[in-house]
Amino acid sequence: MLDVEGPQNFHTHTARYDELLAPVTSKDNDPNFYRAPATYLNLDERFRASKRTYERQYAQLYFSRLMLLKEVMRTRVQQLWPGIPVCSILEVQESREVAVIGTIYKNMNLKPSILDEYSKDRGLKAALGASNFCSDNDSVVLEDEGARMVLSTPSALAAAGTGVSTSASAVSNEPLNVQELVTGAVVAVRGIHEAGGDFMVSAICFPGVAPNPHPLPGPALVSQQASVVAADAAPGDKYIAFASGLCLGGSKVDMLKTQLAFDFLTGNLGSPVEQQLSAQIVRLVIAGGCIGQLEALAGGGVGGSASGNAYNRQAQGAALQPVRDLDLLLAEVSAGLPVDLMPGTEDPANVALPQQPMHRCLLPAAGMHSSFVRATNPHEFEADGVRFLGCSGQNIDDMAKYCTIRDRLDLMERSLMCRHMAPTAPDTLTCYPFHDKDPFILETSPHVYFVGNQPEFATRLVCATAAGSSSSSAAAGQMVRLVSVPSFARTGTIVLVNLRTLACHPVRFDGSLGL
Amino acid sequence: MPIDDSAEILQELCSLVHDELKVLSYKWVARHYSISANTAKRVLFQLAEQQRDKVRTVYLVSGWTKQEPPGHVHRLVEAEQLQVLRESLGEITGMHVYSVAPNQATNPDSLWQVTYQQSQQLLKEIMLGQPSASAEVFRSNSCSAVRFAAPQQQQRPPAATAPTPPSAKGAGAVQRAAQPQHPTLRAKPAEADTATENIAAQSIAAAAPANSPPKTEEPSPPKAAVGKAAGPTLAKPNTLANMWSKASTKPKAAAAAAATAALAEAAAEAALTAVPAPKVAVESEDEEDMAVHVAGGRGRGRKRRGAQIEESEDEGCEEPVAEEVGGTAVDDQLGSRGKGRDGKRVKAKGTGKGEKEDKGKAAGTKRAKAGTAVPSAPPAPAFEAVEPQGGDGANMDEAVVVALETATAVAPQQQPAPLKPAGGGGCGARARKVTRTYINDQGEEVTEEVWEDGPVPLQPQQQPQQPAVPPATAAARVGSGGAAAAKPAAKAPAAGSKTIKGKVPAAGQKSMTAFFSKK
Repeated sequence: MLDVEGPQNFHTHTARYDELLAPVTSKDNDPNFYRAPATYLNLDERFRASKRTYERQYAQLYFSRLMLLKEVMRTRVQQLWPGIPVCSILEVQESREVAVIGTIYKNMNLKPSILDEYSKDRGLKAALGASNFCSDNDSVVLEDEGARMVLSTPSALAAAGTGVSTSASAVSNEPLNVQELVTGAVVAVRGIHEAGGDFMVSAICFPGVAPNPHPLPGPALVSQQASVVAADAAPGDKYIAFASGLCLGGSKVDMLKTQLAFDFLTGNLGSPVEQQLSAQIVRLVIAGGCIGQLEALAGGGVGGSASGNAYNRQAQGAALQPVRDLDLLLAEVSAGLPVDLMPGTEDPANVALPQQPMHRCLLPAAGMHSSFVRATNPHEFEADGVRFLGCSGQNIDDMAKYCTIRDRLDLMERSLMCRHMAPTAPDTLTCYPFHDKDPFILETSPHVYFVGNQPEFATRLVCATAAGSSSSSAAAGQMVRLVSVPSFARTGTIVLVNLRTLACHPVRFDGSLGL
Repeated sequence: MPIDDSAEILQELCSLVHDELKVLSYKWVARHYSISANTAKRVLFQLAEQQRDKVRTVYLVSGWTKQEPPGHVHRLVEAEQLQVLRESLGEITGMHVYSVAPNQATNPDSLWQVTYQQSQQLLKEIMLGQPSASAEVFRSNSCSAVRFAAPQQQQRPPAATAPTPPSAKGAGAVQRAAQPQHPTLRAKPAEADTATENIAAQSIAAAAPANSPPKTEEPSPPKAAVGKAAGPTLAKPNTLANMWSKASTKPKAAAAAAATAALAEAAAEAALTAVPAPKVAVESEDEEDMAVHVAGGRGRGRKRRGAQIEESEDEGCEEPVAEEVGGTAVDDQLGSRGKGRDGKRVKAKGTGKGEKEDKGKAAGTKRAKAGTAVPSAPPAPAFEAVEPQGGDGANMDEAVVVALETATAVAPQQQPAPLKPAGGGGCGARARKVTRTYINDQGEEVTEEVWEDGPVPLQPQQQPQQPAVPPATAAARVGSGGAAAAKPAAKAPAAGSKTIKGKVPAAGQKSMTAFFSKK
């Protein structure tokens, strides 16, 4: 199956590559392309919050998450393990095989705790850093609305520590692998309660990829596996462009590269062939990470501005330069095509998920264009009937700390399997204390699930399985395209997603002059 | 584009590269000359060919890499390595000149910096509301080969959506709005003259004696007033409009001057409309300065509504009326204030006037400056400071100057004046600037400074109360009224402030330069 588009063999505009290497002639008729139109529907509503109160406890979020996913799990258990009774933790009886639905909590010694700063020996943890909390003696606890119980595996040693990520499609009914679980996921476990108090798990099941109520329009993905050619681009195709991690003001930023990319998007760069491709891009989605460094601003004393000290104002001005640069870039690009801007980790928006759109006063120039959309951080939209959902990367980055899975696509798939965008959310990922809902639950699957600010570009098609086997459901069009959008500052790559085939088309920009 | 045109561009670019050592990117060229990007690439190619050895050319090569799977890349490369790169790529889809630079070691960043600076510059122009042709290209991306029209086709004006850009746009609007008003401006004085006769007379009566207490050594003679009064009404529409725009780009300009201007305005308004000002004026007939204070409050309020254009238009036509009506000592005071403000404005504009004028204005300018610092301060203390002066029978000028002086200062220990209740009313009608935060319907937190408790929604935008005195009239006045006309007027506020400084310590050291300017 072809995930990535190759060179196109058609050129509607029969152009030579060196067409522009010619002097100006009087009968110059520059080919003009028209940017393809596409319907657009912003579905950010559930991530927006008009009124927020931070007085509640996070326990309610876990509770509502469990309640919302319980029914899903129940039917799933009946489907997978027919005949196994489902009961709550308090009802579990010894030596009888049951299935229990609950939320996973992972006991991790390395996980940072707010109490750490009061402990005496912080040397070790500080040295290890916060990149990964995994250790060999992690244990898993299952929690439901009534109680919690320790989960153990018959061959705990064999399962743990191998760290081999299982083949992506077979996760629905697998033995418990502690190293691959993340806190906060709602799962069902099947097993026997042992005398010692532990629950011996023989199998675990996840909610599974949610169904997609709107199969893709057109012949789309049915023929995908049959013919490799299907992934090839056709003349009328439209693309959504994804970029993330511009890191303006950061140390790694290369403005030349960024300019190249934005010139390409606006249709200035390259030969008519490139401009043709650019005209097919119907929207640019910037998945966070626009600002590389705002520390100067944070340290430079926002409070200092009150005193009106000229030096401070100057320092502030300098510190705000990245934001102005961003405004400039966005003003430029949104003159050329519609742009969705999602905030990211370092961006000047609230930190807790769901991040609200960056304030419009930060981007006065870009805001002048009606094509500019300030989006929330988990951002969901529909373009020409294809539903996109994605995050700036915090969710997957945080999940990576909990498990030994390294591949970002596996993590994304895991997140889809759990029907939850950010299972670790209240634990180590800050989020708003929702009490009656959990907007991160994936009630339906998007067609494209993207995550920004990843180390490298990667993509994969995942089947939204109801039956569990990938081949059968592919026919139903229940496919989810996973796209790991790389950080632009690091890779210089933007990703175009074909709206017809969902194939990806990474485009790389290199301004290093071959040095 | 016609060939000859491109030849011109070519020549110009050539000199830019060689003389100014500029790094020219195709985008810079496209925007600078408002040509399409593809044409710019060709022009640069021509330039690169022409000057082959004298310039450094950077090419952009687009294509697919040879590795499996092939990747789509856009890569910049120096001319020398072009061949190497072309061989390393599997398929080349595009190639063009990216930039032409002088054949000298340049900062690698200059490849993007020049374009970036241009973008910044153009954006600035747009935000200021005066986009050049290049800025239009920037805004609409019209140099691109890909045409795109924003969904609703509506390019909202910068000032409307963006809170940060300076209100140049608004100023433009005001300016436009102001000009049609001038006919009425001429018509109204007559009408006002008859209608406001008695009230005007009152204010004259109150103001005239106030001008001559010996202890303040007030030198401004009534005769100067004639010339002064004539000045403003003679102001050319152009000048007036200019001043308006000037003032609104500096929203905080001279709120204190409002107080003085309001003197005149009060008189005018008393006749024209049935509003609080006349009421108060009638109530405290013998205490005319009281009415002045109240009116000052109103005047200030009206000032701040500047954003509402129709309001400012009103003011625009009422104001000369007031001056005409006053036509005596009150106006004398106004005139001198106005002059001060004029001087300042003129300075800011850099147009400069006659030396004589400037000299005379220096003192006034300082005062006006002190006044301009005022607007955000709660005005209440200022007026408490004023009252005792009025009660003491100090002259009008003095009272006004005190208002200016103490507007920002914390109210010094005052002997409560007999007029306190009325003064309180005046303060009540005044606005306070309050920071208000609310969540708008998009869930965003919006913080803005608003004027609260005022009689009307207020805006800090200011209109100059006195139209600029065009050099011609000013000169004429100096000639006719003698040197005394300009000079005493300038001295008036200074003298007033001197006496005040003795009485109101906190009001003193407002600005050090003011102290020196007296001499």
